[in-house]
Amino acid sequence: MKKYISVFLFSFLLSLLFFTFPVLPSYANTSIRFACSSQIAKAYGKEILIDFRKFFGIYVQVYNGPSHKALDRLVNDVSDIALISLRVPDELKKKGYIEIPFCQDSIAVFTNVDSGPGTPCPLSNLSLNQVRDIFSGRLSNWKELGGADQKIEVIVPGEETGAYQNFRMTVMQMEKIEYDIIVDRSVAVIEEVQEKPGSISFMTNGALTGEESIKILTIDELSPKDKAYPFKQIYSFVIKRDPAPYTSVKTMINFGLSHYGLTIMREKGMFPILE
Amino acid sequence: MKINKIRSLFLFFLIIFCAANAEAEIVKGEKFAGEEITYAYKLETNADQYFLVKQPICREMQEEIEIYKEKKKRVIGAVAALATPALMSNPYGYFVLQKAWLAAAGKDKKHYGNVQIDRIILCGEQEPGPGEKLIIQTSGMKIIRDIVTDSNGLIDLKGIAQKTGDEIYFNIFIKKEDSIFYLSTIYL
Repeated sequence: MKKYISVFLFSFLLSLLFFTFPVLPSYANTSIRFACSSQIAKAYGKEILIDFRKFFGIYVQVYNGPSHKALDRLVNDVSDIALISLRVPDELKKKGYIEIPFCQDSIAVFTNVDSGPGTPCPLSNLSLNQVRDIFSGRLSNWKELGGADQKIEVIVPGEETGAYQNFRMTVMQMEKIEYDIIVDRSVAVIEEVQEKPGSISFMTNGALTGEESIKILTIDELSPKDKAYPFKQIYSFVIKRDPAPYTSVKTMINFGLSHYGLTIMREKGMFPILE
Repeated sequence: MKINKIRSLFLFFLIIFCAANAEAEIVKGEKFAGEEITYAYKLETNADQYFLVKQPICREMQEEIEIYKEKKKRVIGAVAALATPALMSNPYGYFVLQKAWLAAAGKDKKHYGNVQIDRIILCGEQEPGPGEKLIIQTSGMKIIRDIVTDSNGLIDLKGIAQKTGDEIYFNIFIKKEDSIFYLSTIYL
């Protein structure tokens, strides 16, 4: 009896899968392999790709990971287009790889809302020197900054990520970063900081929109949403060669540069480069 | 008592059957180009010169045909359906039934309409793009915003080169209202 029930259930589930799988003929012919930096994907949100597919009928296979891996996938012909936060080397540009920088986003420094268990973080601003001292290990206790007597726990994204490299280059001016915790994916620092009172990290500002239990700090009284905020990274589309007109690759770039894409950039406190 | 129950049940089904809306079937027809929304742009080369050309893009439409049966004929159909058990017990019943069903089938009525598909397509003829504002971005990330195509859609590459230094390529964009379109990349 059990055997018959199992066979029935299996057939039922199989037929359910068959009948509920979205058969969308207009999507069947066109697809695009998209490699995207994790922090940029987080900054833009999943909705943009859903809307892209809905509007143009182009199916998108997405890879999310560090910028350099996204670029590697393009070079190795595993992806058709990459969206990264690192600059493309001139050697690749001379070989026919095209970089299209289109957006700037600030690298925000943020902490847990508490500088210790049950002690709200009293800071809302740090000087640039204080930021450098924290991330180089010269400042290691919140007490030295007017907070609780609690160790500053420095959490950083993986060394190969665009977020790490851009922060080291722009904020730290290539000084070595000392950290307590390192996470492989850049966006994982958000969860780590949310869980640990007394922790501090950095991330692209757009990715922090709407996140709870964190506090974004101003640096030298400048907010990451200010255009004058000096620590920015650039987002670029990278493609292999000049695509023919009206291809799905070009459609994706133009969707990012459209009124829709520009509106998302502005809403998330990012700055369009080309307008 | 039992017969009364069956009779009530038949009556109930008859009412439900006749009161039901006419069955309608929606059939998708031909796809075609709807109204023009804007233009799609591209670059064309001719003797080392680059020209901007444009082609209208339209929202794709699709014909939608609603087919439904006339309601009067459905009453005949209901009577035929109720008589089916009795007729099927008769050797000639099947032939009578077939005729009754054919009469009940009724004529199809069609209502034609068009629906908008959430896709855009190219439509219309390609033409030059004169007087269009371009944005040039160099491989070194310099941005030049004051380039306008001439009356034939020609792009003044010499003028651009004078404003830039040693570059690998230019990314060419066109600005339309609050959107920017990537056109092409010209290697130098």
